[in-house]
Amino acid sequence: MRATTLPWYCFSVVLGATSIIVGVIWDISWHTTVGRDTFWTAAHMAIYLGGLLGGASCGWVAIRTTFRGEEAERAASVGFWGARAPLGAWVAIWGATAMLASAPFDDWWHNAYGLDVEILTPPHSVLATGMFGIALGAMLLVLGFQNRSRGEGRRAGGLLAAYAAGVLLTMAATYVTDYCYPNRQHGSTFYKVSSLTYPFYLVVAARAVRWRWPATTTALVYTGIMLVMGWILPLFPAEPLLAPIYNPLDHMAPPPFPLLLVAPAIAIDLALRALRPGSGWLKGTLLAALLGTLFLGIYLPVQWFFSEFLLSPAADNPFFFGAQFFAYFNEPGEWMHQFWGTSDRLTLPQLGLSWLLSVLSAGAGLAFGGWMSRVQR
Amino acid sequence: MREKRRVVAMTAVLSLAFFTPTAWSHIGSPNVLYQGTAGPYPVRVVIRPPGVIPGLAEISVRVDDPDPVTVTVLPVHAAAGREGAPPPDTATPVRGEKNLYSATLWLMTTGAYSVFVEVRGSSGSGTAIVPVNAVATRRLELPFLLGALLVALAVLLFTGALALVGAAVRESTLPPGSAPDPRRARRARMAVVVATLLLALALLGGKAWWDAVESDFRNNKLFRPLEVAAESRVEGSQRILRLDVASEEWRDWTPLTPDHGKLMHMFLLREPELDAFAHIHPIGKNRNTFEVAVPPLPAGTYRVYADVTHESGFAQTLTALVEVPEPPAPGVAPPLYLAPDPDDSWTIHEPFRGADSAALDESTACDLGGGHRMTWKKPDAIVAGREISLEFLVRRTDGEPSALEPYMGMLSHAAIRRDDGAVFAHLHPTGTISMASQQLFARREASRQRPGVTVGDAGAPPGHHAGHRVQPGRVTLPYEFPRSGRYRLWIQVKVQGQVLTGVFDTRVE
Repeated sequence: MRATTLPWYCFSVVLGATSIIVGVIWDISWHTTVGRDTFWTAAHMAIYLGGLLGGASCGWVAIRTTFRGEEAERAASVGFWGARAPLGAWVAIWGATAMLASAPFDDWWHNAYGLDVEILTPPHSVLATGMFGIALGAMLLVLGFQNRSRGEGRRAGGLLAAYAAGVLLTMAATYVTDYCYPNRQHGSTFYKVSSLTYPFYLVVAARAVRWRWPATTTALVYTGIMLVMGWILPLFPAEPLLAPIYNPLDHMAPPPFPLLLVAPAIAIDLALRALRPGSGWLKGTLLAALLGTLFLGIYLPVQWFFSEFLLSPAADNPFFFGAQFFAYFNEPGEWMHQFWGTSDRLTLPQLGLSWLLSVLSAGAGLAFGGWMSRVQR
Repeated sequence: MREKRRVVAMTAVLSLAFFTPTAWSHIGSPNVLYQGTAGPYPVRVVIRPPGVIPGLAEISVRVDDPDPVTVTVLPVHAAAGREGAPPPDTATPVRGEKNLYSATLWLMTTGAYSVFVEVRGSSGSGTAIVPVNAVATRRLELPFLLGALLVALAVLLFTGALALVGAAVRESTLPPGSAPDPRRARRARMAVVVATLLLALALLGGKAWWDAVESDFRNNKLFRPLEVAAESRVEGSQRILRLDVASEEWRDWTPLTPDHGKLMHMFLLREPELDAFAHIHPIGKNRNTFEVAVPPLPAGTYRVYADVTHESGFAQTLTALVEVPEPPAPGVAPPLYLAPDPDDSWTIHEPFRGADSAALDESTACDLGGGHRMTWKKPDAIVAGREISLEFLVRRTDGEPSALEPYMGMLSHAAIRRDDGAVFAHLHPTGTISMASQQLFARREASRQRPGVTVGDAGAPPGHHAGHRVQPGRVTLPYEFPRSGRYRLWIQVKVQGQVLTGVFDTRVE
């Protein structure tokens, strides 16, 4: 990948997206361990500055393209409310606006309903949508460049696009963390949520990114980010600053060990190598069915047995950080190493529903990924 | 930390504008005032609890000692105890004030908390335990300006997203330089229509989500006073008042614990005159029902306030309205249905004349009967939201201070009520706290055996409180009137085995 061929703002938006996801995982660890924070913590700053970096870079591109753009630049842009810039730039600007808009909403929400101890709230959803916008915008900028180039240029930025897809996947995984703890991985909710969420991102990457093993690389990026955070965070001493403390932590709590999305990702890459996605609803549906089946068929046994390992004493070490993600307000007990949810059994109907969700998610990924593979502006 | 102060200030401002007061411990008087000692140091602690949980409580500590001291504060949750508490926060001295320290603490879960205030200095160290209830007490409205801003941003993001969809479908896959043909433009318009519907659905879903959180907050988190019914009947030569806790939730509450030997401290105030007043102590017939003999008060409509403390440390005030019938005609005296509690007391005074401002201002002295007189050292102006000391002097007719005796372990009991009932507080010289709550926390710490923590008054047996300098005949009650208005105060003391009640009226600005 030659840096001179890819526009500079692709890198700054990707950097912004990275800062955001690192900040989010850091912030979750902070709330899990220390509890108390103000608006101005380092983790919050990483999130908002990441958004500002992405939004400001693209804002600059939009202003320049609209008012002083060369012919080639204006040709490779789309119109938005009278101005011109690449589509990815507009998506990133929209994302940054949504992130900023969520701040006063979140502040009021805390004052009205109490400081939230959960990830999924309406203001956080607005923030998440904004963060997705930055990462998606980054992907679109790189892919647009790839798709309109010829020869060497078509492969340039492939790794960066796969990386941006990996950041996007990590954001999605973080958003549904509460459903994906190892303790939930013998229950149907985990598989339904996973089937709805993950095939989409893996198939989009496989379909749109011009790179060897795109879905696998995307999954590896997700795995790498989670591993690095899981290894580094516990190196920092910290203690809870809010009562009641039932679980006296003395270091920053790591996130849960990453899901082994690499396994189904390899299968998805292989399938899309062997079967060129063509046009036509029938072929698309059959391909979606295949990809959905591959995802769940591999993901289920892998996670089923790996989660048993994660909850065992063998995983209770700094490398695997097994069941170490619990918060200061969780009462220590046997339950931390057990599977939860006797009312959440993976019955045959639930399995069927998970399969259906997996196929739908893969189908959406094919459609969206197909569009992304044709974006040129 | 400054950001948190801004948040708290904004919350305070918003609360004043949009406060929907809800009753809990005392009525309409959420701030906690405590006057006591932390080891060798006399302290006065004011805690302003947050309106929502988790939320930030503001704490101020005044230490009555000439030497500089270090003050730390610690939130201790009833269930987790001191081990489950974080390292203490150091309170910062307030600039421009002497011996005043302030801190903020997060109260994270609903329930009974106490704040351990530790003072260290050249005279030694000690801890005062101040119980505070952590409950959501107010609904915050969305201020108009903020709401308008959020709507404007929502419109911006909504239309922006639609424009993105249109641009994506119309132009994004075109080779650079070419223009979209009519078919493509039509497809783009259709895509925008579909996107509008989908986004509108998403917004409706978001609103449903918000509504669910709001109703969960209102129904499950916001503290609601328990449903209580009171009725009065004639039994033989007595009138009996019966209080029934009708609410099903009562089952989920921890059982009551006695405060100075009484399961319930009940106040009866005749409405609307506020002339008849009683401080009586019902007994529990079963978990839900309490009964007490009504003292010789005139018939009428009475407001009942019943103060209780639960074993968890949580204190609350139950309230109801009751019609008290005429006393039965004297005749043959059958055996008493219910023996009156020897600590029950009552008084009948002139009706409250709120409209007469001059009378309110001049109400500074009260004849207690039995040759004693109580005077109020009233400040020129009493302002809501500012802590003051209510100072009363009890003197005999010859001018000498009366010898005050402990009445249920305290030098004085006071009841304060705003004319419309929006505020009711039950005070002691130690402040607004529930002493039973404080003792629960102290006993828990003692049983956990933490050496080196000398706990203020709470560890002391009843009958011996606030051992610091007490001048004879003088009673001081710390309080902060939460709202402006017109108030009546009943101040009770015990002299020569008899409970005497002084009644005072005042305006609060």
